[in-house]
Amino acid sequence: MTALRAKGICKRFARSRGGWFSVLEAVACEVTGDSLVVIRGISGCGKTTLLQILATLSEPDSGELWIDDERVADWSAETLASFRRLRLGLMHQEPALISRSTVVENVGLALIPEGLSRGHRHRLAKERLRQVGLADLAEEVPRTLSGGERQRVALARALLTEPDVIIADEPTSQVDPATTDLIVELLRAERDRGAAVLVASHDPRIWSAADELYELDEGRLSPVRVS
Amino acid sequence: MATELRGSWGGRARNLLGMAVDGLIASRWRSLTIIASVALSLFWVVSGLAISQGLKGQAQVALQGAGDLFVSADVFGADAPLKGDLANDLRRLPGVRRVTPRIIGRLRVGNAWASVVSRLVEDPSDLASNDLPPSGKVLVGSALAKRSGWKVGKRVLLEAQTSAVFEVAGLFDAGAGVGSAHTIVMEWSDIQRLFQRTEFVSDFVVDCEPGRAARLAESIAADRSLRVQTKDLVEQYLDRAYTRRAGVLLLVFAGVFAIAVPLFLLLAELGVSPRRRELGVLKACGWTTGDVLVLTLLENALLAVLGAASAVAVAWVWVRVFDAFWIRGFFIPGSTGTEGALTVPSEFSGMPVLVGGLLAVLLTTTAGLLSVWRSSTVPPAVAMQS
Repeated sequence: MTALRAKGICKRFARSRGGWFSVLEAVACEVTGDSLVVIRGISGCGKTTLLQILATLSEPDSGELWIDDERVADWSAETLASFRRLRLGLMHQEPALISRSTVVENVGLALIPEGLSRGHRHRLAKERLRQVGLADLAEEVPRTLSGGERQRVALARALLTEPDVIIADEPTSQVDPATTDLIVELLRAERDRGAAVLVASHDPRIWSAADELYELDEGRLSPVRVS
Repeated sequence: MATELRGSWGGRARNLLGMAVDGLIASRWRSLTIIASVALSLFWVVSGLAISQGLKGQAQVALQGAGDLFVSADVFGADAPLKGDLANDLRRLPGVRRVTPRIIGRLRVGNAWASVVSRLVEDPSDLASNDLPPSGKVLVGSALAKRSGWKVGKRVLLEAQTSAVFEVAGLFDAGAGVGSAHTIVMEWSDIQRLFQRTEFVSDFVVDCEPGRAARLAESIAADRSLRVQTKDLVEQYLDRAYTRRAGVLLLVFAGVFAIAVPLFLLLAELGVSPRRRELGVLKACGWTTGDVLVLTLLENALLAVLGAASAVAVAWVWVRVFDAFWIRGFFIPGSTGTEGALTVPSEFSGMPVLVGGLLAVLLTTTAGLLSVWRSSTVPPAVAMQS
């Protein structure tokens, strides 16, 4: 079962008027398969920065990220890319869709460099779109979708390869209550399948679904007791 | 699941090509803008190279029908007129079959220059003498006739050292060669009077017995301080002149194109941020830097090939259908570029045209690659914030 471990993660950014401000200070956390971990915190506290580091999209100033027993910093570029393609499901705060590609192509993006045929890719992508209730919009382009629909397209993409690790940043920020329920249901299902699920959210309905809840405050991550 | 998601390298290449094609179709206005820009930048140089190649071919054909040696006076390294009675000395040299004196002059017709040529035909039974008109009449190149409003039967005044009225006896076919398009051909005594060259001629065309040309050239040049050019030498000059012209054209084009293409791409992107963000999304989805570069390379290569093909098509129509209207003025001596009835020689299958096309493809393909490489090597999170 896959485990994602972060040790001593620090990150700081330059201020526009000079000097630095620290966003993450020696953050440590562990997300194992079969668990749904949620991080909460006020806006600007660094949740997205932490998730980007855990998703290998950004490098920490110091600290280490481990996937199972391997240190990510030791991976080759190809190994890292392969991890992102096949073992990581990622849902960004903004849906991050390619505006000129169709919905089905956006969902299947990770499999293009994998060499799968268009038919195979589209079949898998359409299965995921069916799961999020958007099968009818497969051939549309993103600009014709609502904010909530784009969010669901991003979720379908994150679920495409039945990944070992799923990281979602504010997955319910632009959706109605019914869609929130659907997203929570799908994330739970992924957890039950054995995936390690990590979510950053302001949404109490997501918090209530968590196996473990953390609070990020002033760069430090601390557990919150789940009632 | 992961094992059933493994494809082949061939599939990877096919997918990247498919995505490049889809991307170009999806961004059709951007694609058309770039293709049109490449075609517009390239078509004039393809036209120029094709005309240059055509002129070279025509000159070579004309040279084949001429004599073996061309003899003129050498004054401080430049061609100069020589005495006409020198022809008799040349005729006496062993190996010489025929010596033909020529007078070539230039005069103004309207606001442009025209060439006037004639040669002395010693043997009236010579079939080649048929191309000269009788005294008092002239043959006129069709482009010159069209530009000046001359028709067969019209009487025209020509002025050089003296002036005289001639009747237009016939017109050269426009397809006979651009050399004839602005030329007036007249009888020998007429040209002598018009240019007051009774004793001097422009040059001699010497026909030799087979295998004697080189040795004769050496002996004429050594004994009489004359400038002698063999057919081979003239052919080399022609080849070198046209090759140099094509090279200069390609060099200028490469310089202009190298600046213009990145500008087109930049303008067509309407800013690099959306593209940078898109590359960030692809990297976040597991694309390698290599995948992103190959995709960009394929997109640019497709645009370049389509642009170059369009340029050749436009150049072909411009040169073959519209007789290279306007641009021929830059390549054909004596042509204003806007006169009618001038069939422009052209050769579209020559090496320079191919090189021009390949250069366009190379420059367009590699243009913008540096910025894409820089965007694709930053962490995806940074690229996506653009």
